[in-house]
Amino acid sequence: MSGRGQPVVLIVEDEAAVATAYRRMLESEYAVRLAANGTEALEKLGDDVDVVLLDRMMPGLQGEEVLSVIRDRGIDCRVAMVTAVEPDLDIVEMGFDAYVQKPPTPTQLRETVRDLLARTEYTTELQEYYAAESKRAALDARDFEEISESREYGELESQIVTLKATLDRSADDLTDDMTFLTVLRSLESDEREEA
Amino acid sequence: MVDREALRETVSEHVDPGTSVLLSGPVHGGQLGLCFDVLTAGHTTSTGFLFVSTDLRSAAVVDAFGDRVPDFATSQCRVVDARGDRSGPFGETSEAVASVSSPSDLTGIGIEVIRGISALRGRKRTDVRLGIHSLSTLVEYLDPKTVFKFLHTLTGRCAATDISCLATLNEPIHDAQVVNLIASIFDVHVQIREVDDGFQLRILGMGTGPTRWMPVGDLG
Repeated sequence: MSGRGQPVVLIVEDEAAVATAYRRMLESEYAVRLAANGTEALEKLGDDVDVVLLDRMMPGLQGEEVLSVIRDRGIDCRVAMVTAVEPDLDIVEMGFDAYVQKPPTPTQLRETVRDLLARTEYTTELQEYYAAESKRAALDARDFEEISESREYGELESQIVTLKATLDRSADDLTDDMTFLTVLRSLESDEREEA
Repeated sequence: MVDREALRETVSEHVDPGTSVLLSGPVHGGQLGLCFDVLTAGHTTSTGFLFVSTDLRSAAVVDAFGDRVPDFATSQCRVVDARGDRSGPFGETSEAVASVSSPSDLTGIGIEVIRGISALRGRKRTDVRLGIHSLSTLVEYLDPKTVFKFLHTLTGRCAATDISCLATLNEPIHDAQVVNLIASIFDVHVQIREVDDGFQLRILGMGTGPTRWMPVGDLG
């Protein structure tokens, strides 16, 4: 994931005219990179890429193969499949985070990217919430009265309330199957990284 | 002494669609029996049961529902068997049972939970209730941080879709910090402890502070 600056979007599309059209739709908000096929995509795929728009049908390496390399390498990015075929739950099971039906309108494409980046926000908020709850759990386990009455503990509690309220607002997004599974997938990938 | 039926009622009073409940206690403390008791409390023909099991055989899960629901039909329950390798070479799969590769396969569990909910709701079982046994196994396989985030995400989705969620924890095998961390996710915490002459239970998280410890009999 890129730290600061514009989020990076990698467009993998074999038709140059289509790729250029996508770039125009996104370049005002994002740093856009293009790859003309799967092999090139894997070369251009660094840790700084946030979102990959992956054409399903390409000569050479297919979209699904590129995806499985991305997941195997443990690159923490969101991948949307761009497909002319009506997609179903299989796409979720393949490990894609979203799909875009061809040909997308500029609004659809921008919304997909925005939505995928928002899921990263949820996992960031969840990490902050975890850190705060974990601190409180540790203090509670020590069970000293002076701790629970201290000013720091009070501040921690109000921080937890704020973080929880923020997360609860995002909970509605989890009713979307793909969003829910994207979060679970990223938890698993974090777990593997730390193991 | 609070008897089993009274206890079922007391706990169920605090469980609405979307509520999450942690049931923690020692092995043989009865939290699993209580989990099934509360999952099936006040069931109607529109109630459907979803159960994620990392420990119990799927057949035992189905039986536990059958014992508590008159005219029980397997079509009103879905078991996600997440015992992984421990389920033996013949992972159980049937109309009511789906298997995932391991307790640490969170995406696999998530996919089967989504499928289970949609299968039950497709059969007009709109009041879906989710049970999980046991969180202790998840903690055994995964970092407590990952378990915390997983449970937060799962209970968040359940709350947003009016599904009550009950999960068990074998409390004494974890340190207090892990127990506190996991308990913080749930709306209600039913805690069972062993004392010299049996078991006691209290309920936390109703906004009024913990109840007093109540002696309880055999919860099965």
